[in-house]
Amino acid sequence: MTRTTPLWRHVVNGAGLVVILVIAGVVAHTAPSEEQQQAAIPVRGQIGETITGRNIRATVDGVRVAESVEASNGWAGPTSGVWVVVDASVEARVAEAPLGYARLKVGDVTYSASTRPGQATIAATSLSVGIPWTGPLMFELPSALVASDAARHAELQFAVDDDTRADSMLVIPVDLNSIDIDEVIETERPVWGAR
Amino acid sequence: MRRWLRRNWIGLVAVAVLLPATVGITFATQWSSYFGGRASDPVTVRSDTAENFAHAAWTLTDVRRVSAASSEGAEIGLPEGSDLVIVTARVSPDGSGAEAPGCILLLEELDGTTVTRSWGASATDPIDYAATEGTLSTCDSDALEPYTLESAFVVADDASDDLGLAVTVSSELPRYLRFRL
Amino acid sequence: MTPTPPLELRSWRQRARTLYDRLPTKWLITGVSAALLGLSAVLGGLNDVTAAPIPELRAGEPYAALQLTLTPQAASLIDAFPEQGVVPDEGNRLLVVVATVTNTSTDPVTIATSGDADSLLPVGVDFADGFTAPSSVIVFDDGTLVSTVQPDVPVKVAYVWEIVAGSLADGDELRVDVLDRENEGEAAVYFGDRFSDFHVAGHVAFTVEDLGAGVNG
Repeated sequence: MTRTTPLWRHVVNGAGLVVILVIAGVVAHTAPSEEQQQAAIPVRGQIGETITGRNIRATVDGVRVAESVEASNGWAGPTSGVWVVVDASVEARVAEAPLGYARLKVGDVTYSASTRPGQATIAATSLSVGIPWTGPLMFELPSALVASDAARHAELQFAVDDDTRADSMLVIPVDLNSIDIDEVIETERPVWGAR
Repeated sequence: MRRWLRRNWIGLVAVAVLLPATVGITFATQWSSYFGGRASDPVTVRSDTAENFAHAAWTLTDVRRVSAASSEGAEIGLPEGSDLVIVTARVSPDGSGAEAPGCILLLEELDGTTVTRSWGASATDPIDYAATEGTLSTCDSDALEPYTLESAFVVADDASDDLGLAVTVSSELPRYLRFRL
Repeated sequence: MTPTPPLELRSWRQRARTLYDRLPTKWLITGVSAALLGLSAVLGGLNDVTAAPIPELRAGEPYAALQLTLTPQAASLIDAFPEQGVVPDEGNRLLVVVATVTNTSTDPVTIATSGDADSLLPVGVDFADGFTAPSSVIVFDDGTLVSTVQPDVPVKVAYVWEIVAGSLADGDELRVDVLDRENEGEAAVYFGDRFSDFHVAGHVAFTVEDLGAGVNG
């Protein structure tokens, strides 16, 4: 009569199988999704701090909110919402490129820096390597949003390429609730070279 | 174990050779098409020699660097913390009948042979620099006579002295000309 | 004692053939056809379905397209917008359709100058050089060229087309189509949104007003 496998071996095999299945399940569920694999690499900093990413470096000097803006080139911005004016100093670090991604994120919604002021904002300028452009960025937001809870954890995001995947993105938290809303803001001309 | 190895050694050797070869060839074809389409193969030239490139002879004639802190820099209106690098080259199309090159000029900051930063010539709009009379600021693809090319680049003042002028002509990619300044 | 008959060892092919012979083929075909015809009779017959009519929208009524809510307001003819540098070629005029646009998505949306979606398209107009896309899109209040609309901020916008002079005159009826599309979501090998099902979502009828030379709205 052939020797049958002892019972304890069956138990150990069964337990081993269960352990392997559990590990496989955990690995499958925690594997990064395509979005996570390709996500932008955030580099965080505060207002006033110089934040350095791979190909971009910026310092946000201040954030103001107003109902209308008078820009240095004479443009006056009418809007049905409010203007969030961000004074920042931005430079490229590797090659020249325009500021392709300048967004203000409140909750799930992102707002891009307006190009309506034309030359009075740095949203459309081509950034030089090592020589910063200092000037305002203007974001048009609905007035109700600026007063909402989500605006307390708003984030400014800067990146060189409009496609932010797998590259540095500077992230600066802003509390929009704590900023008083002025009636009019006057902005300065963008300056090349000053920090 | 040894018997099994002896009987199957041919198959094992084949796998050991073919598997890395397949992976290597797949990667190589993809990467070569990536590098083939961009300026990735510099033809480095010392500044005192003439070089034939894209149906023209190129010679570097002058390099100047003006600091923003100097009086000339202040006159031009250079931004704080920058230098102006002016590169002059002589281009002689060889008249071989092929189109003389239209090119892209970049100033590269080099660390040995790797490029760490690069600047383009287009950023000179806000400053008051007037090019020397009779020179061109970009390559002329219709020229048949030799001409002088003068390019001004606004670079950061912490750019090292190891700079290179990169001349990229699309028909010559991935080769491009690099003058060491 | 009778011997047990030997087991019939038939191959699977022979067994399949026997089964197939047992199928009442004619019965099946008739039955399925009868069922199909009965079903189509219940659902309205085999005639072509008339397409749903495209809704008529009124000027001033908002239409919620995929990413933008468009409220077309007025249409007018002008000669040029010299301050924005929008000057048509000799023999052409500008057709301006003013609309209020609100971005209802969560990201900034580029107002398409390719004119193929979430946008307006005048119908039956002689476009200059055949370009059906707006030659520029201008913010009504400050005259700047706008390319991006921010979420939840309504903007009054003028879509400008260059048309051959004489194809429209003061008082003419102009039909403007409102274009809409669907979002197919993320694609496997393509980054970004994919849009499909571009269709005309509505018509708006305007009476064109000729505003003469260079008057901004």
